[in-house]
Amino acid sequence: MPTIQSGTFTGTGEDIYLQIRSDVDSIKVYNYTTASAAGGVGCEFTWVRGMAAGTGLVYSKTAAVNALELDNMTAGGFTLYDTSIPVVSNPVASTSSTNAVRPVVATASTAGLVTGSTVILSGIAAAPTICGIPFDIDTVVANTSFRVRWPLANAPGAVGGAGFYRNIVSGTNIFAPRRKFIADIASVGAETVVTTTTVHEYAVGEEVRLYIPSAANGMIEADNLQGTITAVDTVNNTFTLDIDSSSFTAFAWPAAADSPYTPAQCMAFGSVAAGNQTYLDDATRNEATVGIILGGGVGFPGGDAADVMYYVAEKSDLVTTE
Amino acid sequence: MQSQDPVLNEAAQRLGVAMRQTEDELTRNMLAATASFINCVSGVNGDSPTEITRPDINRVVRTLANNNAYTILGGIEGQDRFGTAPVRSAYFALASTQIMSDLDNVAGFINVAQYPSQQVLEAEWGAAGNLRFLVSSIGSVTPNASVNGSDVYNVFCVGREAYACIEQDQYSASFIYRPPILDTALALNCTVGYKMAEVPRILNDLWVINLRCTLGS
Repeated sequence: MPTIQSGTFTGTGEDIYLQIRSDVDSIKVYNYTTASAAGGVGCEFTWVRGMAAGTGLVYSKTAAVNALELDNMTAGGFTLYDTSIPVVSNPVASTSSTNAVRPVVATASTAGLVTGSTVILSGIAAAPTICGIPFDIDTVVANTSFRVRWPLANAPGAVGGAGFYRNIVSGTNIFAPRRKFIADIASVGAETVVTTTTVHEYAVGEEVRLYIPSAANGMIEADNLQGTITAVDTVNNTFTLDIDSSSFTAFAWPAAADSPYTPAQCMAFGSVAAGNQTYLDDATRNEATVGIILGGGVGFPGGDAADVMYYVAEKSDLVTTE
Repeated sequence: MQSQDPVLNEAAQRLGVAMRQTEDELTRNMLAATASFINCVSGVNGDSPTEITRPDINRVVRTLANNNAYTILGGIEGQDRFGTAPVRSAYFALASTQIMSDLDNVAGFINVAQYPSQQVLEAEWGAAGNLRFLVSSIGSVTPNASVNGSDVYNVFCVGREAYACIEQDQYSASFIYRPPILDTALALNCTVGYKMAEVPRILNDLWVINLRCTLGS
């Protein structure tokens, strides 16, 4: 028998990711706010399996009289998604990268990049150690450049020439908390502060192991050491471990000559907060979801900011294509 | 009396494959996201990680042994058979079928055809050092993650009890058949499906290492 799921959400003006586990076959979305407002804006949206990604049907209230007018959407409509499938953009050419602790990458196209996007660089011959590692970015200057968001221990040692970047959209690591690449490790008093190249997602009380197999990263003494997180700084994307690293070799970001090598990593494997270091509370969360993306904005199924939205989605017994 | 409906039997067999493959993919994804890794660095393809080589295999075996990981399989004793060689006790290495030809080029690699005994796992491709390689078309791949932008192949090298799949609430899977009379108006269609609730989990993170490699040129 068909499965029906219904619900409500408040629009933000941005795309809405609606989780529908049964893999939706059709959906209707109602904009309760615009349904009672002056005409001219979409208030009922429909999508049926078989319609192309980003499309759908929209009923708008006419501006002249209080009637409904049907139209199709060619963009900004409905799109199925599955975050367990890796989505990495095609390579985009970059022209240079700076030799700085937060390298700035020049490119003629920043399409799809925003602060917080994760990119992976490749093919920069003079600076290979910033390639093959996921980096969060900020300071996106449209069609000019973007900057690595979380500072490395030191500049990579050389200005980089032409290469490529790819935007990592989803799905490469769906279980959390995830293994992370280490950008920097600082010894502070009797504790150790770790910065990762992407948002670390760790929490106070989690047990974390440092994995530094290559002497190119310095601080080889910390390899395989485990510690408990005593503090988390979400502004600077750091976490503090109760490991006294004051006598260790300083951590270093490798130079070009060190490639190929194994980058420094960290991974959470348990939680003291749960009362047991191997309690089944960590590294077990499958955060992948399936559902449908509702395009956001005025006149679209995701709605504008503060719009009150209702939806009814169903999974059919039978879907045919005649 | 048992129903011998061939359609239902076929559906059950296909769903069984789908379910076990889903379990494999979930476990694969858990290991890819949370296990520590060693890059292959001794190859010559000019990428990082490089293609898989014997020194890289030795490195991961040494690391597992230093971490007191137990091997999963015992050795296979040598026999007086032409072209065969004894096989060491070994950890499992779970890999993509894409790297099979690179494995053939690894120094000292022993294909399963050269084992003294053919009592091997169906997925097994061969052994090198203290690793026995099991390959699958759904082996783990991280797209475009090498220094040169190539796909990176994750070879999970695991010791005994390094990870587990934990069943939730006393069941790992249910096969559910709903006959037409229960499932649709006028009893037109039946449905068959499965559901499961289990969690893949690393039990000792020192006993599993992801040996990352790219393909040889």
